Amino acid sequence: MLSKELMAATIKPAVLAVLARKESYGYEIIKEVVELTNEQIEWGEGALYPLLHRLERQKLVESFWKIGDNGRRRKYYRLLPQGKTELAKEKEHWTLASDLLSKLWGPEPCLS
Amino acid sequence: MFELNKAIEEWQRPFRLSHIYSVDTIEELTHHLLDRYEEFLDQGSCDEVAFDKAVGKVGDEISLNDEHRKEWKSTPWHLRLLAAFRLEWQWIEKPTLRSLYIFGRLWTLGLGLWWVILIPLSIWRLIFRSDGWWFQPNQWFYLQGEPMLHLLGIASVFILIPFKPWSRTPENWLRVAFALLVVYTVFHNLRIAILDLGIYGGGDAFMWEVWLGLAPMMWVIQMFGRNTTLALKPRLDLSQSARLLKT
Repeated sequence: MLSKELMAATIKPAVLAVLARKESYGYEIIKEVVELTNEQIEWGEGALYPLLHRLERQKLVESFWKIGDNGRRRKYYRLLPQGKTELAKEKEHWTLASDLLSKLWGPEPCLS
Repeated sequence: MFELNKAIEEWQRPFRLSHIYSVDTIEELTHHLLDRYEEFLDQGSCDEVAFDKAVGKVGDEISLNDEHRKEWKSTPWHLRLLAAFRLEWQWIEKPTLRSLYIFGRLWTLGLGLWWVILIPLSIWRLIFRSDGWWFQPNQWFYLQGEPMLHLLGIASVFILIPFKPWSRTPENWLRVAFALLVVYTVFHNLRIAILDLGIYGGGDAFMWEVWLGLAPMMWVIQMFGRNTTLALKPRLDLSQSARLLKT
């Protein structure tokens, strides 16, 4: 299970990445992340929706209402071009951090 | 017997009374709650237990409040003010009351701004003994507290405290203090209005005082308007959801 801080740090790039795959709504985004991480990560709704609304205000995503499969209205979110740029930036940062940690935690170089 | 619509209405109530949740957000959260509810039904829970579990998962107003409040506070103040107007416009369904309510808000806002300009100007004129057209020094009584009461009108616009049931919290005591000031201001203005009739004998003075007295009355209308949101029904149409109708 991730720490609270790490959970908060990963939520934005992860949401952008989920929305880059396809337009989605809050419940589906949470479910997708739960599935991808084998139930290791599950964000609270209290964190997800304010983030989605902030991303919308920053014009990274847009929202629209659509009738879902079960006949109920759902608020879908779609990534905007600015959101794609932001996601690319996030990817770059996280790859850098991941590379650093991989190198530090990888096998000790054999000097003999 | 468990009634889904009633349970949703109860769950929605604190959200509807809070200024930080838009109609859209509440509907979005409600659909999320229903998704969770269906999930627990599928897992074999009975409807009442499924709903309780769904609320536990999605959260109530208290547990969701922190993050939403942070988001709300990060919004610029003028957008918050506009959002508050928009929210109130959406929630007050009776057209007459809605118009009156918004009129009350604008009135107190305008009057508050008027005094914000007037007080420094009057003080400036008093200090420099100018014979300006605004206030003469012998009209100093206009600055004896009354403007401050009207500033409370504008404060009520900015405070935007969501109305919740009575408890001994500082917020509720603040409301009581406001209410007492409103009552005081109304009587104070009426008294002055009657005195003015005697002193000046003119309708103008009377109208001036009535005009001032309207501000706190408008504030009462604002609070009244907010309370009516208690009586509103959730705007969620479940009729299209066959899965939920079965429950």
